[in-house]
Amino acid sequence: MKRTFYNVLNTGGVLLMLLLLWRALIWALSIPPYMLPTPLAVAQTVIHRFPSLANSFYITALAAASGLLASIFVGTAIALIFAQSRWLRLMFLPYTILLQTVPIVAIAPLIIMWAGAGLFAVTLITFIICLAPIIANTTQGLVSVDENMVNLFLMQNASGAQILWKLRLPHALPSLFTGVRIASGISVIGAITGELFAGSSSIGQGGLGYSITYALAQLQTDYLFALVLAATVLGFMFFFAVMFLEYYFLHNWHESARKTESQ
Amino acid sequence: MLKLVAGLTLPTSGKICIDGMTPANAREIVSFIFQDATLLPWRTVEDNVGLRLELEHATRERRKEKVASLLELVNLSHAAKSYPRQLSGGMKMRVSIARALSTRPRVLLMDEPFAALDEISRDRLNEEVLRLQQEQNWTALFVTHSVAEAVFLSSRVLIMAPHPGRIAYEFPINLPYPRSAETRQLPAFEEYIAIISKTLRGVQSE
Repeated sequence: MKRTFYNVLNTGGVLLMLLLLWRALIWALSIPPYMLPTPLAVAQTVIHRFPSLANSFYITALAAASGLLASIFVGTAIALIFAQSRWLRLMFLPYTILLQTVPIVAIAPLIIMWAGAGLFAVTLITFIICLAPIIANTTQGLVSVDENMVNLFLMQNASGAQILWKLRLPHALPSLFTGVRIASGISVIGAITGELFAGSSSIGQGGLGYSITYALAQLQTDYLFALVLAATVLGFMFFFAVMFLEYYFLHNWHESARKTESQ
Repeated sequence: MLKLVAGLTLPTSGKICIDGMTPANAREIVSFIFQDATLLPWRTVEDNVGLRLELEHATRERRKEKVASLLELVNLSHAAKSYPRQLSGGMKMRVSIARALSTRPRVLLMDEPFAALDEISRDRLNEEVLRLQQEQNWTALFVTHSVAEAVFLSSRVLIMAPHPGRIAYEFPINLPYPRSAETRQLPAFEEYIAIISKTLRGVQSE
């Protein structure tokens, strides 16, 4: 208890020092506000423009969450197919690496041309970059089951469905979560990147990525900072949501979740 | 060899007969105990013991009842709600044995089940295996590298030789049942170990 208190104090102290340094730099180098606004100005902007900020936040969160969820379902389904045969894996797994290495910034304009600008295109971009880590990790988890465990099920004349549901899927759960944890981080990046190109929506206001380009063009640097802050908060929320789910499902039995418990 | 009897590997030639059945058909009366306990880490002890009954689509009530009596049999009733990671190696093995016994097998195939355990737990589990065998009267085919373990448990010890793999010698063990920790102190027990160890060395230097 006392220790957590000191931890919070330390972390808070570092934050305070950084903010003071920031303010001091502006004062010492007399940086104009359109280049670097003061921390106080950013805080005021967050309060004054909170409704539009929250709206952008919501749009981006929706795109990132839909893309991530879709990639979890599709990625797991693809991994289940891959787990069926070595040949399929040898043939198609290299292409999932391709999925990961193609720079999303380069193909985003293409996707927008095909899907049309808007929420759907942004979700699609998020989906595409989230897919690879989920396929790779889940496949690994599904196929790395101990041979004797499979034998145990075979001795009982277990059906293929029983082996899948009662053995392979639960065994793959920790790996699936590793994939989702990686994907949750890049889903926010993906959604914002997508919005940089396709965020202009007809509803009047786009997500964080769109608003960032808009704020930059208008030289509303204080609002730009507020948007970056919102994007960071969003990333944190996704990360902790996945951490929580991982802990919830695995802490009873899996080593990785248990370690966070004892710390 | 155990995998052949279990029907997990097919023989290159010849036939395997278990009580007049092929290995695939005999699975209902055969249970396999692996070298590792092979417990499912996401299941509690009781759910691990109940796994095979669950795969057989046994009703929940019957499963619960059987699991409770099996856990009592291996003295693990207190650990029913624990997860495998919370158990010692010996306890895990006892869970594995309880699971193997859940389908009332007539033949048990044991593949060095206690090889990874310390000597004290190993001796104690050996005594427990004999007690269970007396109570339930199954046949066990037990693979081990420990001569003492083989002599203590068996009525027959078969020695296998390599290149090509074959059964080279057979020793009937005429120590009286029920056997207990005192059996290990008998001169006859020491003699069996001496003879078998010597034979084993001879087979390996061939």
